[in-house]
This record gives sequence, C-alpha cells and structure tokens, in this order.
Amino acid sequence: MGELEGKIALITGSSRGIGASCARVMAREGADVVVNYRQNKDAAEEVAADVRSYGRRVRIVQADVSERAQIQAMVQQVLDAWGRIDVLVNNAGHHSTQPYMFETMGWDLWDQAIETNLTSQLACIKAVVPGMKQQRWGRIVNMSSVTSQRGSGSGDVCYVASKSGVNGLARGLFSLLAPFGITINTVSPGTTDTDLTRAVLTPERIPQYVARIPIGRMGTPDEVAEVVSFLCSDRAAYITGQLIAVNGGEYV
Amino acid sequence: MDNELQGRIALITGAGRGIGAACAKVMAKRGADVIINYCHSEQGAEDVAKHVRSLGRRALVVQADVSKPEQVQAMVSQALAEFVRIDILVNNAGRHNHIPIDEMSIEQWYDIIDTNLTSQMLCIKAVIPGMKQQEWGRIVNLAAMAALKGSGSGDVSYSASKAGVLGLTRALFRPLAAHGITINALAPSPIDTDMVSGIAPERLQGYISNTPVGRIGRVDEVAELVSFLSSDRASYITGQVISINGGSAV
Repeated sequence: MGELEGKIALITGSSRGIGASCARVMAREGADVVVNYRQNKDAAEEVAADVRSYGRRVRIVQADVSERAQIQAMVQQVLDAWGRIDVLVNNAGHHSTQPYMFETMGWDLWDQAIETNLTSQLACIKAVVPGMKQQRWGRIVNMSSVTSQRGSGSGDVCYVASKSGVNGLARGLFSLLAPFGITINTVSPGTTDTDLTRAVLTPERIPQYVARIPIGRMGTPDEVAEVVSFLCSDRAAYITGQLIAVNGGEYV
Repeated sequence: MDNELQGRIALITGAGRGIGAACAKVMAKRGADVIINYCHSEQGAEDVAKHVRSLGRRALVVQADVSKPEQVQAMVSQALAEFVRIDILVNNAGRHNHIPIDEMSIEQWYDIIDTNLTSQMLCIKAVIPGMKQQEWGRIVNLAAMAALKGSGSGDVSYSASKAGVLGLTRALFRPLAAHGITINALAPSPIDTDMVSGIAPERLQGYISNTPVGRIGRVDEVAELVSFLSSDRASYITGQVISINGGSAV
C-alpha cells in the first residue's frame, strides 16, 4: 500500500517541473491529485493522464495563485467535487528570466516575486486549513529554494527574499496547526533540472552551478517529489516546522 | 513506499532496543535484510531478529561494542561474510550519562565520547570501502536535539558527543558524494525509549508541554525517516541535519 493511500492532494503549479513530479509520485503512492496550472493546459492534461495511469482520480483546475479569488474558487471546486483536501503542496512559483539590477529595477519585479511566491502560498494555506482542522488531519509542504539558505551571487533579492519569506510560513504556523494533526514543513530544492532552472540559468551557466554541487549533477524533480510525498504521509507525523533541503550537498 | 528498501542490506548499531530495534523492524518491513548489532541487549536483539525473519527478511545478530575498533572490524567482517555487502549503515548505538560537568570525571567523558561519537566514525570507516566499490551507500547518523540545543539536564558529554556527530556528517558528505554515498544526521527530540525513562518526570512533562504535537515521539516515527533517507528516493539529500521533534525545537 502506498504511503498516501486515499489522500487527496492539491498541488499548485503542477503542469510541469517539480509540481508535475509531485503529482506523479503522490499518485504512485496512492493519492488522488488536483493538478493546478496557470497557462499550460496541455501539459496539465499530460500530468493528469499519468495520474490516471496509477489508477487514481485527478482534477485539473486552472487558477493563477497570485489572484486570491482564483485560489478560493479552486479550493471550493475541489471541496464540492471531492469533499475534502488532505494535502496542500505550495509549489507554484515564479522566477524572472531577465537579469536585473536591484538599484534600477522597477518595484513591479519585487511585487510580483512577493505576490506569486510568498503571498500566494499563504493564501492557499488559509483556504485549506479550515477543512484540515475540521478533520484533524492535514499536510502542508511549501516549496522554497536553496537560494533562501545560501543567498544569491547575482543580487537576485526579489526571488531570494520571497523564498526566505516562504521559510517563515512554516515557522509562523507549525505551532498553531500541530494540535489539529496538521504538519507544515518547507522543502528547499537545490539546483533542480526543470524548465524554470534552464530558463533562468541558461546552458552556458549550468556547468558553473553544477561544479559546486558535491553530487556532481543537478537534482531531478522526482528527487524533490519523493521527499514531499514522504512528508505528506502518516509516516512523517512527528516532523513539523522543519526545512528539509534536497540539494545534493550544495548547501549544508 | 512499501518496498523502498527492496534488496538492500542494512547494518544497524544498537538495534537490540529503542530506535535501533524500530529501525530494524521498519527497514525489514520495507524490504531490507538487516544486521542487528547489540552490545548488552542480547535478548532484545534476538527478539528483533525473530520479528525480521517473520517478515520474510534475513537477519544476522552480531554482538559488538562499537566503541572498540577491533570489534567494529570483526562485526563488519562477519556481516560481509554472510551478506557480501553492506548498503546502509544506521549509526544508532549511543548512551546518556546525565552527569553535569562539575560532577563528571574524565573517564565518564571519554566513555560517552567513545560510545556516541568515536563509534560512529569507526563504523563509517569500516563500511565505506565496500560502499565506494559499489558506488552506492547510505549512512544515517543518529544525533539528537541536544546536539543543537544542549541538554536540559546539563549532560555535557552527551550534547558534545552528539554535536560531534553533526561535524562528522559535514566532514564526510563531500568526499562521499562522488561515490553515490549520502550521509545525513537526524536530531530527534526525546523519543519513547528506555533512555527517556532516565529523564525526570517533571522534565519529561516539560518537554511534552513545549511540543506542539503534544506528545513524545515514537521510535517507529524516527525509523520511518531513517528508512526514507536510506532509500533510492533520498538520492539527492546529503550532508543534512534533519530534526524530528514534533515542533519542539524549531
């Protein structure tokens, strides 16, 4: 029996990358999955097909998590259809693909990073917690980044600060949620081989980044998803408020 | 995952009771054959072996004081003779003495350092050659919350030895990474074992009231994390210290 047998998991930004891997791994482990996407409908459909191939139920829900009303609508849709949400994986995130200088950047870059990467995570948590409290069981995993731990060599303050803020969500809420059987943890992936990473780093820069990773390669999105799945299971009931780094030794 | 350790061979020190015994049982449930080391808990070790075999896995019971290099060598040789390889090392054997610094003798200090820290180094040294040869290995070192936060009872040798385990982990993750070997440390808060029964009830109640999850951790909960970290699933996690404490020491 899988470690998530019978659980219902909402994974934001799961049409590709780490989110898509979470959907597949969690379906393998027995969860029914809500695949949320913003734009990439075809990709979301492919992920959904993979979830079905594990014999699990899947719902595809379009929502831009930087819009609070859309989060509410998404969660309501799932509750109406399936009655509950057991697991929230706050994975949707944004990273600007244009380099910027913080001295001259427009405030919109900062606002977007904070809104999409940090505020959206809290908004999703707010939306799912009432149901989790009622059933006295829940799992929340917030996706952060190794940059929140080691900082940025390039002055990428918007992304780093937004992800450092993400680290604060679990720290801010674990104590309140624990008596209700809800754990909340942060997963901090290192340099992971996804579209986002390849768009931000570009092929020429990837070898420099890989050179400082002791394991000698980028992580796979599945390697992140496996930890997420474990944390969302009953096996991890005593782990809460923690940050778990999946980074091949890039940062300790 | 049911079979995340399918086909793996795990050596667990101090597996006659407590967290070590739970690791043996959980890892066997998840597919591993196990080498159950004990120092004094012979009956406990045999009981664990019996349980492991009832799950259809192989078990080897090996007595050894893992603070002694020659006994560690003998244990590993015996394990290799039986199983040909060791894929996973769970450095679990360890002890408290609850002695504050002003009462502690130098022998008492060395005793705990040897039992809790030196032993881990000796076991790692013994298993690495085989793991390197096969380019796959998992080492999980049991540290403790006290390694990060100190001990409420002023147990200086325990806290220092467990902090040393973190340093051991950090010293080794880089050189081992190129060989497909991950090494991580766990920092559990007080867990429901014999060791915890040595803690004064008021202090224990103090821990519980400071633990958001509202209870002491269970041995199987630590074992599940050990199992996960010992599997292929955790192939990109190394050099880390993972705390399991019900929220008591964030």
